[in-house]
Amino acid sequence: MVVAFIFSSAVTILTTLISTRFPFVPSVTFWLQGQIVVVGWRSDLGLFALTAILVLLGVKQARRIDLVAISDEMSYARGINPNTYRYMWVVLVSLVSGYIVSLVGIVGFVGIIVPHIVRRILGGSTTALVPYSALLGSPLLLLANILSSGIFGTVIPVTAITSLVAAPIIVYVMVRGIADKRY
Amino acid sequence: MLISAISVKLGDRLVLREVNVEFVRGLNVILGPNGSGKTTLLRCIIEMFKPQTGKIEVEAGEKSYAPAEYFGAEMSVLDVLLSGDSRREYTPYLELFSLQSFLERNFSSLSTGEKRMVLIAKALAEGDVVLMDEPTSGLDLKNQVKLREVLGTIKHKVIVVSTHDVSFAQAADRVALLKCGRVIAQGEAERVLTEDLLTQLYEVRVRRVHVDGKTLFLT
Repeated sequence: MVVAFIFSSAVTILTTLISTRFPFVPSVTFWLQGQIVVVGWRSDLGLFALTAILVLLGVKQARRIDLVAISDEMSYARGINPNTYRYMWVVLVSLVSGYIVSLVGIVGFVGIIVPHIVRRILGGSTTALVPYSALLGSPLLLLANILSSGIFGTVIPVTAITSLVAAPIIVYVMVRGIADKRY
Repeated sequence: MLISAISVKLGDRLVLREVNVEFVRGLNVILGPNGSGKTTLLRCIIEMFKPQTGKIEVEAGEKSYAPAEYFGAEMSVLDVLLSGDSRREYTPYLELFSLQSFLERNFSSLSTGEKRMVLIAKALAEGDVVLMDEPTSGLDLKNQVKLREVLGTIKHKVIVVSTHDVSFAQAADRVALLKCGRVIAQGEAERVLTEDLLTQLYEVRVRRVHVDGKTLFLT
């Protein structure tokens, strides 16, 4: 979250500089806040392929991801270096996410809300989390998109809806975390 | 398993110094005070740390580890057992510790001892070389006895257990005493578990007494 704030500030500085130096460039702000609009299907193929590969990889590796989450030592015993493994996943997910954001813009918090819901219903094993989060993500985002397209009488960026929904969930999780720690 | 002259430095500290130890098929126990390097030794065997000198020759086959510390994951016990792409016959080991009915339960909701036993059962089912870090801590008396009995009967695997429980060491085929990163004695339980050596090891007066045909160690 701290990293996000740092980069967010950097982006704000950049956009302010650009709009004062080049006033004829339209505001980048609206582009930065993602919107799902049909502008043609060409980029969809690449998006779909990349996401599908990532999800399939996640499903295949699910059991090993679980083991790395439980214990570093058990992972080493099974021939997995947990640090390298985690690093690989961070890089992979970051690359794919970066590509998606570059096409769609920033739609926040979907990655937090969806697995949280899946975890509540199906438990925290990666074998369930990966495929079902992927399946739940699309309809949820579509719903947010439908809402963002008319609920306030005008089109607003999707990320506003997802952030609004996510905020109480995050607060709830944090409060519950603090309450648990009291014991 | 043969461990030859390994030295391990972690940060600035020399944790293991020229450790030579041999482990056989059956139950091997490493006894030693806190901070003597027992866990580090186990971690070297699974190649988590690379020793600065020396080498470790391990039997061929799968290695498994029952750790002292682990994350209480929010998944079912069955998912925990299957993690790591493992498909084994866990049932016989689960039955030994009366855990068969636990499969659907959430792992994080189990008691400390129950979680430990699940991971012990998993390690025993999966490994030809089974490493355990203080497996008896958190176990009630009945389960401590059960574990000692179970490990005493498995002769085809190389089981290496680090513990503080001297009575556990009595059931072992081989015992090694580790102090300040050095092996001060190793061999058969009868020869190694003496008053002198144990007193030297733990820096507390240890007495060996015989009660009802059993040998007990008292402080």
